[in-house]
Amino acid sequence: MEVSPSSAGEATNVVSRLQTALLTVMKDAKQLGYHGRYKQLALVVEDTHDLLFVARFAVGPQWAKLTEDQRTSLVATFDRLSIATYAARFDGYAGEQFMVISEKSLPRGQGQLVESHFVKPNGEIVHFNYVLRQENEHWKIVNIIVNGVSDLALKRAEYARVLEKDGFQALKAKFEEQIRHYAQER
Amino acid sequence: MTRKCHKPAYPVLAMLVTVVGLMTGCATVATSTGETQDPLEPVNRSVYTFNDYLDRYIGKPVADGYVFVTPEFARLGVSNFLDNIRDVNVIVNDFLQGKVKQGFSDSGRFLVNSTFGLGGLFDHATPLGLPQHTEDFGQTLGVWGLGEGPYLMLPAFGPSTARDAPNLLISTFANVLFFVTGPVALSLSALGFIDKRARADQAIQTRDEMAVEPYLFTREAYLQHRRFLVYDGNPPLPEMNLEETYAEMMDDPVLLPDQDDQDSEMRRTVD
Repeated sequence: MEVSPSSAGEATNVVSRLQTALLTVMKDAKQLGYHGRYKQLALVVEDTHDLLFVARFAVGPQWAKLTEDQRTSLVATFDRLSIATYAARFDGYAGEQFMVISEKSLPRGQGQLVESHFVKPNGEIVHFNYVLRQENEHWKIVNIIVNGVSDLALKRAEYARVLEKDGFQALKAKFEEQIRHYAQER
Repeated sequence: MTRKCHKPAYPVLAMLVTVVGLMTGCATVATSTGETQDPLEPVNRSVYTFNDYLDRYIGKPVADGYVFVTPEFARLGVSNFLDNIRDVNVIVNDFLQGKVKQGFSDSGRFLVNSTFGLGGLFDHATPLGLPQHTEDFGQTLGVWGLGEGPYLMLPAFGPSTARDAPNLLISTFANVLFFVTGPVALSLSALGFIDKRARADQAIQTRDEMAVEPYLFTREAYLQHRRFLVYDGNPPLPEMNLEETYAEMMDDPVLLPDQDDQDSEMRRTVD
């Protein structure tokens, strides 16, 4: 997919929007609580991520074996899990900052790569790199690479295996279990 | 994406690389998944289960106890002291990788912390612009162009590869405690394990929360993070056929707009 010059920087805007929302809920984390953070992040996570694509890609070839109802159900649960993960993991603030470093086009039309740093109060830098794809003129995040570890690759390895070995219900049950766990812990 | 094995840039070390290369098979490495890199998966899974029990019944309780009874400033001192000792291994590998400037920086760091930092208890080097680096012999072999080889789950030590495993030996010889005998050295070595486990607690907790399949999660995360270190934070992106998935999605009923809107509404109200 070609990237038009006018779209340069649009991927960065999407990432910045997400990171601003994350810092906001981090700063108000205690007052909001888990459920408050979930509600505040739901819309921005859905708007900035292509969660359908992530779920579809992560499931891999097993997707073809799922019924339409199973696909819809799995994607809906996966979306709730994605929001819940953000709400659970960004649960406090101690002076952390996000800094966008660069945006560049990936080869062979694989989208845009936005490189950013999550700077901890002690100066430690965590590399947060985002891969975004353009669909219907909107840039959306499809992969987050934290210190070299691709979230999409992890999910693809895990989900495909669980589906293959234990089936659809087992994978969905694991999603639900994680969502319950996140809600209980915080 | 595959990465070819090629000859090392340092001829004097060719023999060593050849020896390890034979061990690792100098195999091409799939960077998108560890699937093809885990021929020993059944054995690795058994060791993973063993390690999990070991950690659950010994590692974590001991580390939790250590954190509970030791004040934070004392734990920081212990971590600094052990890091300072490990910096010798970092310096050796800096130079083996040809990172001369970083090697001198890390040497300065070691000198500052060993003297003004009272034997490494305090980290005075970082504020002076001598930051800590992460280098080891596994990374050095990677920089020389050696393939990762098969993924290994080592008893008690955890995830590794045939390329990373020799670092256990090299780092032991580069650790001054190895040349000290007696109960003090033994206690410090044990403290090293406890300190490492205590510092890894957050990462292990994250894995336990996020992993759907913990063995695969650990393997993929380990292999990808090691590539990140070998490439000094700029590894090639994993080759994933995103386009193909998009093409397949075009005919997918789940993509229908009204269905998507319904899902979005449901996600916002159900949590």
